[in-house]
Amino acid sequence: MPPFTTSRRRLLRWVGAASVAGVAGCAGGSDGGSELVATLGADVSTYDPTQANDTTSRKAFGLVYEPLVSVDFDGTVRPTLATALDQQDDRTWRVSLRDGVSFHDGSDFTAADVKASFERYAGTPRESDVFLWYEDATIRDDSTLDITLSEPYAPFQLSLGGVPIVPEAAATGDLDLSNGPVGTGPYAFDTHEPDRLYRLTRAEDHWYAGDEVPETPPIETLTFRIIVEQSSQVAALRGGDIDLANNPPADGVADLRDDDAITVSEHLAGGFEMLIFPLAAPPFSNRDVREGVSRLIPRDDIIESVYGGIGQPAYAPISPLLDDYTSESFLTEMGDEYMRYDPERARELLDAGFSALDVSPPYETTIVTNETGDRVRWAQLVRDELNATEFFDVSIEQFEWSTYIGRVLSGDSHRSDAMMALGWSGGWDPDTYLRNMFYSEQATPACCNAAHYANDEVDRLLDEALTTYDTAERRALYEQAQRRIVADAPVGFVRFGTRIEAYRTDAVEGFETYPLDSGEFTAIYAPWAGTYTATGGG
Amino acid sequence: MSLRRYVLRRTLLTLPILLGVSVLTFGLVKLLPGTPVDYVLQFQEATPELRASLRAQYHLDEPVWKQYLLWLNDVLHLDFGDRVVSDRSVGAAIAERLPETLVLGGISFLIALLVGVPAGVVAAVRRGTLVDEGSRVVALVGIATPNFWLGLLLILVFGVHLNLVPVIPPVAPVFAPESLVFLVLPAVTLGTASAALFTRLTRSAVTEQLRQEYVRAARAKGLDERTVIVKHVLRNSLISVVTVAAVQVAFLLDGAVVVERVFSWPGLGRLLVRAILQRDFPVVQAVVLLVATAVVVANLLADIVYAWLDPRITY
Repeated sequence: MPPFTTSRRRLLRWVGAASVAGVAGCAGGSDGGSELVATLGADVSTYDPTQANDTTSRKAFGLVYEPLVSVDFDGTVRPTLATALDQQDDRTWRVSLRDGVSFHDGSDFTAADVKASFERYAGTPRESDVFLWYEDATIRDDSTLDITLSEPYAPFQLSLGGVPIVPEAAATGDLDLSNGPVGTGPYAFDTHEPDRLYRLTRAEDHWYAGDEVPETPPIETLTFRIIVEQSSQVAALRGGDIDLANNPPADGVADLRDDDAITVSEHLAGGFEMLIFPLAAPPFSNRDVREGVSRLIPRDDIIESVYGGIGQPAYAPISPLLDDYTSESFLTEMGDEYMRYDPERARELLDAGFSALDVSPPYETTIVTNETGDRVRWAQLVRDELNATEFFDVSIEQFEWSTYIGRVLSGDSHRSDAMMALGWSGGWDPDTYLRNMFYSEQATPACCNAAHYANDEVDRLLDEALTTYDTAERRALYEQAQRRIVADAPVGFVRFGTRIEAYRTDAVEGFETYPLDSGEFTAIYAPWAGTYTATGGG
Repeated sequence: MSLRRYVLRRTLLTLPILLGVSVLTFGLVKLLPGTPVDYVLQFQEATPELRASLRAQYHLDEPVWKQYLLWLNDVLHLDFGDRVVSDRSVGAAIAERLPETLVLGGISFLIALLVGVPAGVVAAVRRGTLVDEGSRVVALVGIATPNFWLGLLLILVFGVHLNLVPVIPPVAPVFAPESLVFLVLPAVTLGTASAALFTRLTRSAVTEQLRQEYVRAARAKGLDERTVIVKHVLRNSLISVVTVAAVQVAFLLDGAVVVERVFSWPGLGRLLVRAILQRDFPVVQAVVLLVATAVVVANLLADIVYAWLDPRITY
């Protein structure tokens, strides 16, 4: 992917942004400044990127810190604190930094801040965000540095997007980020009352000086109310206590659509739901049995009745969000060949599989799941389909999330006889959909390959793809890897997800849903993507 | 035995109970699957050195009995350690939320007593009338309604449809008028079951007392009915109400876990639930210990109030 290309979508968005610019002027609260009240579904637990394991914290500092580059709504890398990335050789990238940028504490942004921001990840819980690829950085002058990678790394630019830049003082110990985040972003930290609210205020001297979007964000104050209970969040939105709610429960979306005061915004997300097979336990050790079960997953029914028609059937791991790496026709082909709901074909496969194994049906087993309502409901539909054949007698077992994930990742779930219902969220790089789930060395308990799927060819393809910079070549490698995985059927893919937000139509103008959860508030003000949000009406 | 000696003895007796509570609190948390290290690392790959240093940080490399003694020693010095999920101290996190939970619990408790006890007295005095039957039905419904559901229902009716009160807490100090207005719904939600229980309990206690000889004597003496009920009957009936009231303190704290979530009220209940899910052991241990201590103290107070209510009780 050549760095910093523009796209047709970007231009269209620019036109859209221009049309709402007129509204921004008349927005304003009683105290003279405009305020947007949004929500967080959990409390913010840290302001420090090197400690942030939860999406909530990452969302909350997303407008405060900025990375060198950002990833826009369709996965394109955009210059942010860097103005150019020039590849010197396979392992070296020269980064030119933006001039005239300062942190919220008044200090100037220089190459030393970048190097320190990377290196302070060492020995922290999020070490792998950086040290998976970072070897060293050489500062050439205040606004130029060379980053050396430990080996060629194709997702380098995307990975930079996940590393927020903090002042060097945070690395030397002169600045304590646990008192509040200090970045270069369009909003500065104001207050955080635990479990109650988290508030940001507009940074008046943000570096942006173009004319695609207003030079300063139209919204002066961003207040995030912390509302854990989803039903209460929906009630608060309908009652007018908040302007913007995220991820309303699937069964409540229809009500929100019917409400004239509310706009529902959605975007295909990066992730899928799946049914993992325990590969070491007969009858799931047999490929035909696995394909048979996969062909009994009623994906269209599930999307219709469980998810209210939102989302799309998954026939391969990589989400259509990454349209460089997957295509409608590829998904259709995989579906036809290995996965589409087909009870007759399933019966033949199960018959063949069970005879080959000498397992006498009905085979008594369980589908284990956590208590997420939507997940339990699709697992029930799968159970009903399986029990309608003479081959299975399936029941469902639910666990509280941390107990459940502990069990799935324990390292021997592939030997138990239970199928596991799970969701996986990927990011902007195709590797994020494949490596952790299907690479042999990522087998539990090392990481998340709970099926204990191991295929040398898939391992080789994933390794090669990770060091291949050329998009076309990379795409071919991922297609081959996906074909192998889908044919081996270590899991039955169910559904690609959708992110949903709902907002009060009269209070919010220009908001867009970002495909990944951690970037939820990107659209509030993202000059690098030509996008911003204003408070409406006025 | 004098009242003073009784109070002293009763107070000393709570010490072994509290010690037992501390063992249970510590032990139960240890029985939960997963450790703080799992939360910190999110099941990611980590070098053995990082893992070991994290284990050492939480004393997980020591034998369990030693972990307990280390913890108990800290607790006795009122040092609850640092949180797993952030570098803030557990004591500060609790201090931040304690006022919220106390105010919510206090208002709920007042509502429960001020509604429950008079309703029970009226029902007993008008035994067999429509008033009595009505209070019985209302009380049964009150006891049977899950507070989670009641809370959402009240939010929908008063917050969304009638739009009379905010659905989420106002940005204001806990004692500000708008906060107290907001607290009406959560307090009603939390107090309803207790109010219903007090109603039934008071009714049966008062009914029983009304059959006693002393009531006939008092009436024969020419005392007016109000004096008979309030001064004699109610005082004697309250003993069982006080016993149950002490136990209700536990129920109110327990119910707060749910009600605080529904009403987004930043109290101890939410801190506790989140800490359990995140294996934030220092917080779980501290909050559970605090709640258990509150219940033990409430029972102690109940025992002392008996002695005040009924001087005939000797020990």
